[in-house]
Amino acid sequence: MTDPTPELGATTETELFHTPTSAEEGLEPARLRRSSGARVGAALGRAGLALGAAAAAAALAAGVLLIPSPSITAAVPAVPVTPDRADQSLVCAGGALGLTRGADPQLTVVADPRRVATGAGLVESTAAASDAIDGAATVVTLPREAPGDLLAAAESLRPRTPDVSGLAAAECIAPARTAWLVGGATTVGRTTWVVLTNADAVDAVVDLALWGENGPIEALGTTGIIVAPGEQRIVPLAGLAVDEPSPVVRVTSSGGSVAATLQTSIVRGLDPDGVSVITPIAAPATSHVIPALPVIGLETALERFSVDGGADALTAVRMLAPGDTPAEVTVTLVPQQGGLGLSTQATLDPGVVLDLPFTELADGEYAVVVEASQPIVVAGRTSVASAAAGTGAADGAAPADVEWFSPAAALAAGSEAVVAVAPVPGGVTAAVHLFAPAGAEVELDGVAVSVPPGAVVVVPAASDAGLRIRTTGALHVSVTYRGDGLLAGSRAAPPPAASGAVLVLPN
Amino acid sequence: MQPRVIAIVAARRGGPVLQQTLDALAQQSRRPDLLVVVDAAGGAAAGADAVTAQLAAANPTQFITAGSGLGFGELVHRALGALPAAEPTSSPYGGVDEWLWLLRHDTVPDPRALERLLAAVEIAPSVAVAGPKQLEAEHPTVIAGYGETLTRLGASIAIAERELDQAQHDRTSDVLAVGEAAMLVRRTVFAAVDGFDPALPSVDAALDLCVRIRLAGHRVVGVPQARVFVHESSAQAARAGAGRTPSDRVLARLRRTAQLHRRLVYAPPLAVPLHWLSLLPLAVGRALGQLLRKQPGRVGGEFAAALAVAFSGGAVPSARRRLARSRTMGWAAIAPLRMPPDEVRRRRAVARDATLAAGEDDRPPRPAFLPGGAWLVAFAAVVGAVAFAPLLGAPALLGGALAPLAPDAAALLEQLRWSPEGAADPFAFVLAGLGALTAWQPSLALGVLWVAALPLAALGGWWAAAALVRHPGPAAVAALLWAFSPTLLSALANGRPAAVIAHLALPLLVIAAARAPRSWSATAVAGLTAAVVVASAPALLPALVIAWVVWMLAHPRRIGRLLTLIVPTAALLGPLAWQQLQRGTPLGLLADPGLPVAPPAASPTGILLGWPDLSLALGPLAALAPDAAPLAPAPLAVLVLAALALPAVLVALLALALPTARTAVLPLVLAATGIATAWAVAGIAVAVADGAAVPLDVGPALSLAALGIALAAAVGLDGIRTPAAQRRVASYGPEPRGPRRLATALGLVLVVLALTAAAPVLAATLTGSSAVRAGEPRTLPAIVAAEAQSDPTIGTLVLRPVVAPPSATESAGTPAVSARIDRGAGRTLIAQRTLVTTGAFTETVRSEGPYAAAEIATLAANLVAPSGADSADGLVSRHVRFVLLEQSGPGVDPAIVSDMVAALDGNPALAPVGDTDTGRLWRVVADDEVHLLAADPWPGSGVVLGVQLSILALTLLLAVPTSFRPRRPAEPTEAEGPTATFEAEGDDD
Repeated sequence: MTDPTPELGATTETELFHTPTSAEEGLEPARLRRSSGARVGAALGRAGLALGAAAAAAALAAGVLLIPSPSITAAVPAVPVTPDRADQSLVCAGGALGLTRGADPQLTVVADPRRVATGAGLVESTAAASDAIDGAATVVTLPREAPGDLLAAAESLRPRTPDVSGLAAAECIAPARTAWLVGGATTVGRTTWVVLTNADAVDAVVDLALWGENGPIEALGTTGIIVAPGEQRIVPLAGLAVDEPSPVVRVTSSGGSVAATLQTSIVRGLDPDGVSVITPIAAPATSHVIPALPVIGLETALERFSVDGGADALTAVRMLAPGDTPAEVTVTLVPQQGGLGLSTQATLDPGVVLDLPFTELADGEYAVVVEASQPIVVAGRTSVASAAAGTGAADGAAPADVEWFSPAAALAAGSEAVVAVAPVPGGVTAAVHLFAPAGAEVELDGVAVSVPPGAVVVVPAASDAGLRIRTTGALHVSVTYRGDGLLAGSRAAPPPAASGAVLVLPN
Repeated sequence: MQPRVIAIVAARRGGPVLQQTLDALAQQSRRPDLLVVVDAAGGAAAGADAVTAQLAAANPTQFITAGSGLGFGELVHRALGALPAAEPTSSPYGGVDEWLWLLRHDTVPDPRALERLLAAVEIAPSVAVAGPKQLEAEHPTVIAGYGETLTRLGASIAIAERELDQAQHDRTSDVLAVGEAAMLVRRTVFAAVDGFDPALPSVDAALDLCVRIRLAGHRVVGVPQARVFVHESSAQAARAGAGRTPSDRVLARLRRTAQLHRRLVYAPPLAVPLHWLSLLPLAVGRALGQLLRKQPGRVGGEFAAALAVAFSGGAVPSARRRLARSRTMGWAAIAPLRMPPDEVRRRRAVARDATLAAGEDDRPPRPAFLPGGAWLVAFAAVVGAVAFAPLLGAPALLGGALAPLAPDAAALLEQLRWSPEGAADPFAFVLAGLGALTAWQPSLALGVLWVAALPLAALGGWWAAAALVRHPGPAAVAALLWAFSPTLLSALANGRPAAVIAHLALPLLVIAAARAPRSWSATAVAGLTAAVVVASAPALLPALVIAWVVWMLAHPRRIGRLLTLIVPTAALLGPLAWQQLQRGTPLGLLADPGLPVAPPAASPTGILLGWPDLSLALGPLAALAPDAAPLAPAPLAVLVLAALALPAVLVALLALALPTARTAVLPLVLAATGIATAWAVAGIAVAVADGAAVPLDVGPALSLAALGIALAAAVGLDGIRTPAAQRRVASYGPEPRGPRRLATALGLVLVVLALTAAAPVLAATLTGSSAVRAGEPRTLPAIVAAEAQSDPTIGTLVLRPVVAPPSATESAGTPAVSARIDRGAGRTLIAQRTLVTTGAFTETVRSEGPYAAAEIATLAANLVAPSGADSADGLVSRHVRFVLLEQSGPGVDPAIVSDMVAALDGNPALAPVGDTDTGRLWRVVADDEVHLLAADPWPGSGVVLGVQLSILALTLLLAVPTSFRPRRPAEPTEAEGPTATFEAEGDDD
């Protein structure tokens, strides 16, 4: 019989109270006891491990740098949507403006316009509210249901009052957010009106910015002009820029868009010496083309206009670089027969309007090509006087007239447009001026016309009509109207860019 | 009066243990008079024949065969049934005093055990039961059990258990109960109380028997001189077959079942229904308690025990009848024998202390947080407060991918639901938790996060590094490298909240995951932080899944526990993953959550240098470079940045060459994983917003790399010092100064370089050139926000001119706008759904109904271009009250934008409001009577959310640290030997 209970011994106790330790701690005493040779071996092994890791790190770095990351990119969902066709509207600014006689002169319409509008299915409406007595803009609308796209309208004015006399013509314009109006003057005897018409359905808040021969013009009342829908506001420029021989006006609107034009008239001494309607330029550009700048009887005109010095009788080009940098400008007058024209170089100081006159100029049909190093705005002016000096009695004739010609935007190659030739009083003829910088074959109402590069082609045209134009190259088109002592011009506007698809990216 | 002893041996297993038992019986100094063996090995089981042969060889008086499924009590009853009835007697205790000696196959009695037991009962006729001192057979000096008793509440508790036998219990004699092993019980009394309760097959059977014998007026004594060596516990012995040691989990369930059964049996009749009704509620409460005690494995047992007892059929009534038949005394009679509550508490405290001590022994020493770590966090806090001072107290942060967090506290919960747009992002849960910190104004929490990001990162970095190093210095270096890491600073400067949160959560994840195999608490923390990291940076999901699988393979024994790491992540990600997979866009799971704003473009150089946004660092550096520099500014700046970053990498690699190599491997692998992940995701763009694909943010992946480098560098610095410390231990000399100085100098260099690289970015935030700014809690103009106050459902059509994407092969000049409808005061972070931003256009969610993309596109196109369409109806029917044209994207022709403005201005359905801080605004003219009701969420969304939140709450319960040092009661004055309690396989908590 043996007692199965072993004696309480040190071994057992160690076993019993042996707490598990981490592997590393368990190794420590053994490591301390190891021979120095083993220690060196372990250290060498670790050094090898570290070197291997460094090599792996370098390989990783090289891999990241050299191997391109896998590329997975989600396709962006995009929905092309063609917006519903909108109504297309043109605004015809209305009659010639003048003041009533009497103690308290009121702005009034002194001559109703003659108007032509072409386009299948168009609708004309009148915006009756105007600052001028009897003033009424006409809105020519091509409804969205109309069968065609082409729309053009133009009107002409032939006032003959003691204050306002002459011939003016203008194409009807599409309302826009910004418009640059180059022309007019507010010196003695010169009257200029800013005509703002809102054909939209919402209020337009219009801000005007003015430049003159001495730089930008600060004036009260230039901002926050509210033009209600269907309303025409007429602002005298003289109230904003006093005694300014060379104004340039920028019209910007928020809310609704406005159609902005200038109407300017000249009285020399006591005689009314011309009237002009100035239509806007959309934006400053580095290249402008004025397809029509007729110089007719310049000698006669200068003679007649010497009454008050005749400074604004000369054929001239008005230019403004509205940016912050000076612009180097080259103005080339291209004569009708083509070839090298009169070329003038000038430097435009930023914000300062320059009237560049041409003194030694033979009569002729010119086109003006302006190239600038910076975006500028530009317009040309020319005057005409009746040979029957001083009489002015002949019907259909006037003593003198002035006309501002704005640059015409190019009709794109291969495009089709319609140009409206305004109805004119008797004794006045109309002609279409074509200028293609690179030449073009043009079909004008079914008649083929070849326009050589760098030449002006003038085609007589029937008035009160819409002419269809088809061109194979970029083409600038203006219409001039002339009679004895009468001159006016209008432009052909390219058809509005078809509202293309809008890409919508729904989130 | 000659006692007659009937030894009953119930054998379930044979082998040497049974042989020892039989031999010990044969060697008894007082031989039993009868030997009854019960063969319960199960006739069919392998080795059963050997058991039968062994038993037969012992020459038993009776040989009984019983089924292996019976409990010890049943086996004893079978043996008694085979015996002739006790001889009639006139004496109250019988003429021939018959005693039953109950033995199991594993109970080896001391040769003089029976003699001493009989000696004890002979001198005291009132004693009906005598039990020996049970010693562990493998450690014969350790008491396996000596007497059992009940607490006041009826839980069974051993008087002595697993203690070194130092005769400390030898004065104890009268006990409430003794264990079943080698118990000597008077046969008449055993019969009078109807023997064992068959409803207690494995534990507490002897306790219950002794209680009934006590209540019948007899005494139960322990006889310390009699010893029996037990191989198995009673629960183990009750198991059939090979008799594996029952796990803690099974043992706890058996004990709980037995306790609940006894509670119903012992209770007064009127209290039984109440006890029955309390079974399930108590199970729920105790299950939560088990979670708090980091014993999630016992949760199932609680319910199993409650259900088993609640539906045990006739077991409780028959046990109650058995008790009632034999009871002659009141319960008060045994009250003095119960264990007093003070003693119960003292024992628990001792047990907790022992567990804690075991855990502490097991943990490597950690550098003390105070004072160095505290100073460090304070420094980071000051830098953070100064750098982000303008953002402190801001009602909302805007810029980058920032937006108001949520409009109000209710939205925090509402936006977590499965809405008609799809399942909520996991990040929404993170944001909801963040916003709940400032529930009165949820967006405020983002400003707090921005200011607190640096100290929080320092704290996390310290905590992670302190688990790997022995000295505070290296830990401080790691914390500073981590807090001023380019990834965190870029995320802060560029306004990317998801990247910031991922950066803050990463060190907790890495260290908690490292400890997860040893601790349930760490497992829960790792699970939660993994959910936060995956929610904030889904691009890390593949890397984390790989790490998870590798970690499970490395710890196959803990695979069950490690499997649960994914539970919180799965709970949050589940609905979204289901929808993405169902839709066939699994890659959409990688999309960065929050506002879909493209992060700064990542370059391979930036990835290697650790800068997600290289321009943040290159800009200031290039500006500083002298004009006459030999290289162009950009390459020079890159070289400078590389010089600033390289030393940390070198020290990190150096760690492998030092004795600390083993510790440095994991961080370096992390760093490589981070770089590889950044490279892999740099070219992936799965979300689409504002008309452009949104690339994934490489920031979080670079955070992972930065964490690895910071930790490995700390290990390297620590390793430079460690050999010296070891030599000091060996030679008991002072620590050599050289290595220590080298480590300090290197650490200072690393910190200075990191701060130099960080300085320009921090300054950028202070000078206001960073993208982040304080703002009002709205992304739409103030006038919209004001109107949203009264009607939060008002819509704003937000249009943004962009460059047409290259995929759309239209002409280059085509105007393009992105369009979306925002509700209320604008976008909020919590309402963003990656399911929407990653959806293809033909997605079913949006292809029908008034919010179909095609419908919105038509509406938008007819607004931004001159059109004859009447937009009023389209706007009004969607309750859109405003149209906002945002600042155009880069590269958009201004003329196109002004055309759009003209078209919008000219639209009679809109009235211009004017330019606002976010763009140009129009009001819809037409009045609308439409009042949008919140779309009905999917009816099951509440259930889904409930399940998700419950899983999070339970994990949180498991994660709450509860292993704090317990209150130690006053030392007992009674002379008592030391108590040695130890766990077989302990957890840290």
